Amino acid sequence: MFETLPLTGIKVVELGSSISGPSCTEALAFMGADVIKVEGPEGDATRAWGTKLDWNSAVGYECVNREKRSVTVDFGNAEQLEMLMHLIVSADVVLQNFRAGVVKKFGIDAEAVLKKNPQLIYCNVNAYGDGPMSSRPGYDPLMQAFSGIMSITGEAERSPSRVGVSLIDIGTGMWSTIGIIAALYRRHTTGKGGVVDTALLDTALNWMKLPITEYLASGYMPQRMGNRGPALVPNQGFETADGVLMVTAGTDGQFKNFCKALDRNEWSEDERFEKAQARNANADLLIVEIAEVMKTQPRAYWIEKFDALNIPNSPVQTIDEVVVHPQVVASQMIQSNESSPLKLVGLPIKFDGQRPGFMRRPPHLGEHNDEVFGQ
Amino acid sequence: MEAALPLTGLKVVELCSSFSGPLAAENLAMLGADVIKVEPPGGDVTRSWGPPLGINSAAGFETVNREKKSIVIDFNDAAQKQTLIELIQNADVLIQNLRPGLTEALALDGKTMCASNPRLVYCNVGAFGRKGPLRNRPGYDPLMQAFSGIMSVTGEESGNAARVGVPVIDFGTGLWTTIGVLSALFRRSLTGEGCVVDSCLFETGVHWMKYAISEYHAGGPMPGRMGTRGPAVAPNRAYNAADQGFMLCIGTDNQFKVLCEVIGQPELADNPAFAKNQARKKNEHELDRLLEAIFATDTRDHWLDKLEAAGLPHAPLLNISELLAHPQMQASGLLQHQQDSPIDLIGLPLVFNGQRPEYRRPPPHLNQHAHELMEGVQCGEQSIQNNNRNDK
Repeated sequence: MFETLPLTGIKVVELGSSISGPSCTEALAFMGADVIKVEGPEGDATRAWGTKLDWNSAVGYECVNREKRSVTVDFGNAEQLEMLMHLIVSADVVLQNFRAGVVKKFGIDAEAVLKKNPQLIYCNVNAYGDGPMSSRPGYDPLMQAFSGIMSITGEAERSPSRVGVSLIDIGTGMWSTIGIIAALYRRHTTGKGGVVDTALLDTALNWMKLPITEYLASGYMPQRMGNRGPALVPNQGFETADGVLMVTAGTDGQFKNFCKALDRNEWSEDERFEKAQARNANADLLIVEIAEVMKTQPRAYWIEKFDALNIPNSPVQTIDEVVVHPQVVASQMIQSNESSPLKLVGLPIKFDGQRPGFMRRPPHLGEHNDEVFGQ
Repeated sequence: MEAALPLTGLKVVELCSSFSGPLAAENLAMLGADVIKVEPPGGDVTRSWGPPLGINSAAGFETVNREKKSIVIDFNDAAQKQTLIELIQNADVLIQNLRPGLTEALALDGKTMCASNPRLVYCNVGAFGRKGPLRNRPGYDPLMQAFSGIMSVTGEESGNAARVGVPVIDFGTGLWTTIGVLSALFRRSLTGEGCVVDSCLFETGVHWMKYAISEYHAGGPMPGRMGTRGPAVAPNRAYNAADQGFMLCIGTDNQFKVLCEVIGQPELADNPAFAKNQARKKNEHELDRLLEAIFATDTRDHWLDKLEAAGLPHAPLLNISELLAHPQMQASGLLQHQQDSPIDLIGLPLVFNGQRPEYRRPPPHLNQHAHELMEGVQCGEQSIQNNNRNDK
């Protein structure tokens, strides 16, 4: 890796709570930035989200606040607000995801702060962004509903489902990270900071890029398809004797090998199934035939057969299976730190072959007040 | 706006197909970089993903290839490969997602390319990464959704595991790749040195599961499928009004107190079974029964108006056509138009100093920019003929 992490020396002040803003500043911290998390006296709401932990924390807080320091500021106290302004003005990056209008009320909005430090990058993480809903609060599941993501997730004959991971919150954190680093890169040439705006709604719409493009191109409205993927056949999960196995054997060559693995060589010469477009046209028939064969043997049997013939496949794993899988262990994505009671997931990026390490556990509330404000 | 885009002047070479790598390169292009997409003689496979658009393209290709130029290179043709090497030697960034081992076999790998151009940021977008028993396997979005456990937490409680309807792994990996490249470029602006960046589909999948994995490590319950229900806070799911459904998401104790007033049950807020989030989460099925009975007494519009007036987080469940027609969607300006583009496309969910980067260049026709980029360089006659739009 570099002698130091790529964002070493960059000072970030997080005026954030919940998941979106904190996950952005955590990514910046992973990559070496010095992140100071500013919390109200009662702490980030996530300190009560999920399984409770003994140190005024909970899992929701722990999983997006690594590598940071924490200070508490009472925004109603003029003296403390003044100290905060001092901290902000000396930073390279400020991120805020308060409700619309809050930073303005306290005089720490982008306009006010950039006047004092024009080199600052100020990132607003918004909910809906500009428009008729601009003053509404936003939450991951609401955006999943609003953006149509839920309308295409779940089983065909059942209700829409929520995506089981926070793709809007963490996704918005990723877009904010991209905007901030791009602005830092530009600042190096121009000497000027600026304002970056991201929004949960915009992130949600970006996730929907493909179905929206398809709809605009052809009027096709994607439907819920359970575990089935689009465009290719077979590209879905099948019940085996002891669990579901996903198979993606979309090319004609892969399908030929798939027929061999199922001991149904005749399918690959059948004109209803031989070519990809024919398989799409006769998908329902073919899927029923495949399902009949797949359920006769256990998952491990099929995995071994498919692997030997290079047929892409994966078991539908549960979390306890995921964390002990040899590939997960080899990736070292789940990291330990001796002062952290919990193992936590690291950054999915390596620089020169090395993943940034787990250096500092999520801070206790106000743990660094003295250190940062120099009592 | 164009002159002010943050990556103006940066040269990127893309050796990618499918979604993950092309999305990363498109992000850099939308941020102002000059991206040259290198395609094999038949073109990126996504040119046939979805109904044909009559320009050797389809929605799958159009979605992730805005703002780029296209050239065709046949790796087996020594002269064309040499042209590619020269392009890479003059580039700031290279992104590749070819199958494992191919760049090494072609001597186009990160080590070799960075040796001849030490300022290069070379990015490998892998499937399972470079370590572990599955390192040589190819990767596909739905398989990684299965492998990482995302499907195990998506779908109805009593139903089967469901796939996420959008490519969370492919696009997510494109985002992490963009983040890695930008950080490396920032570092280079201080040190002058490039580096090799690795991202991969599998690690993106594990990262999406970070909350569920932390819960598991904390000894909490194994997260399962919960239909419309979210984790950590309650109430946080879809409820049926008398006519249609809507999502409600109460994140704080104070919001819950306001909700109790909205539904005419202020005493609920003082009930120790519901007053604090962790209590509500523990008793959420009991709370659901109460709320279901109340919401069923009136229409969706009635409840949404009340929730709106009280400032409580809620949303209707929309499909794509309802979404595109919504005034908020139109106000966002995220769906962008370009006169030469057959369809409007989604822009960057980032605004710099109040302005969103514009839609400047439509996804390129195959080999559209061969003449412009390789003037005087031998190029397959066949591939030049694929060009059916005048060079711009």
